[in-house]
Amino acid sequence: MDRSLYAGPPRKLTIGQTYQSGIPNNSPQRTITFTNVPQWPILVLGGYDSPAGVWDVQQSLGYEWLPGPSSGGNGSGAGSSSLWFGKRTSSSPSKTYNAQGGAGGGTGFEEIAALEMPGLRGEVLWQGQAIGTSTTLVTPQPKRGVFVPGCLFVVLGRWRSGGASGFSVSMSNGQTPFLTLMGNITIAYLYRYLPGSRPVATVVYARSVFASLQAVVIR
Amino acid sequence: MAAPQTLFMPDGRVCVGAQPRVLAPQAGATLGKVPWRTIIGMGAKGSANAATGYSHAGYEWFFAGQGTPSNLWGDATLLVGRRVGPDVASTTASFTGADQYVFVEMAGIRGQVLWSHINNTNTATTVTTTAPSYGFNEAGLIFVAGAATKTVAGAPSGVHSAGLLPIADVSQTISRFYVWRYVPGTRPTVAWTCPSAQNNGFITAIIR
Repeated sequence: MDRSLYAGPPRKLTIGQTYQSGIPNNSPQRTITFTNVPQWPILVLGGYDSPAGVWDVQQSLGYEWLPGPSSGGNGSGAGSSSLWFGKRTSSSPSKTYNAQGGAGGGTGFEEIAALEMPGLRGEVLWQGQAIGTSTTLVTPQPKRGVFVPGCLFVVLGRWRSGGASGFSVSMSNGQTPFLTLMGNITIAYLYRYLPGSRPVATVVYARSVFASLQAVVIR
Repeated sequence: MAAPQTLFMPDGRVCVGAQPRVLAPQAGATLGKVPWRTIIGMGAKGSANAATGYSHAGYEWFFAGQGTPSNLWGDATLLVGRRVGPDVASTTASFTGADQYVFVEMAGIRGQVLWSHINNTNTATTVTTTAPSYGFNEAGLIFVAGAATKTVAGAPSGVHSAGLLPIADVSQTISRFYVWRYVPGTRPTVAWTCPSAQNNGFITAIIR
């Protein structure tokens, strides 16, 4: 019997997703309303059109929020994607929370998805990122495998508005994702991480500018 | 800094944080010494985003958390370096993006980030970081705290809540980086005092 934490069908008990264009300058803020009251740890995946990803998550949910890695955000015009972890701290959390995207970038696009995932601890074990201007990006390969069971391999990318359309992701070890999310500027592919493996994700997409991609091993 | 130098404990386990070595804090980008253990580092920038790139033949680096990735405020970015090559040349390491970097090499660290938090302010000279909501009942962890402030303002100073043993304290002109041993089960905070009320970004983390 496979007792792996993420074996079987994806346990997306709660998904909230928001998307809005034309965000005004300085501290745009988005509110996500979950479809049900969450009770497990939450993984937040966000993309922003200009530097630098989701940089703050309000503690309005009865959760403690931990910032994970952010891709791009280099101040040169490339957008970025960000990971956040939510650990429950209240016995009666609410169904809504706010997330803020990068400030000072003029108007832009912002997308956020939130997944409630039993067993998620919110630990960052490895991360690699790539920023490019072609129509293909390849994530860095882990130089060493991570020998910890129950990890996730997350491929998270952000492209210029409309760039997430027409994309494809292929893994060097042939893995298939157990969950995919796609917006207008953001894509997220979630895989179970095979302990000790050193996978590379190759992503082909529609637009060749302002692209940033990251691969993360989390637990 | 009163850091133990004993590498092995009486039972043979590696003493976490033993033999800490600060790898030449500098505004530039090259490590000053040849490293060979896991490295915890921080990039600081007076405004906008810090630590955007890296190149190092013998190590792989990743950005474990970004303090304040905002165009308006300073940024303290936490970096983790894992050794992946048998022969490491110090001159091959380079980093881009931040105004200042600091790297602390020490024994017994894996570079896994169990908890992190960011605080920032553009209006106050004192900030107390947010405490973890839960303690971690695990031995051999470290608690790190980094701060970045306005360019040419001077280094912030931080006072941790009681019970943490120091491993490293590195002060630079716009940033500061502390490494302490984490006491299992505690929920530590850091009370920072900054020379400027502007562009202050802070990151705290518990690392295995």
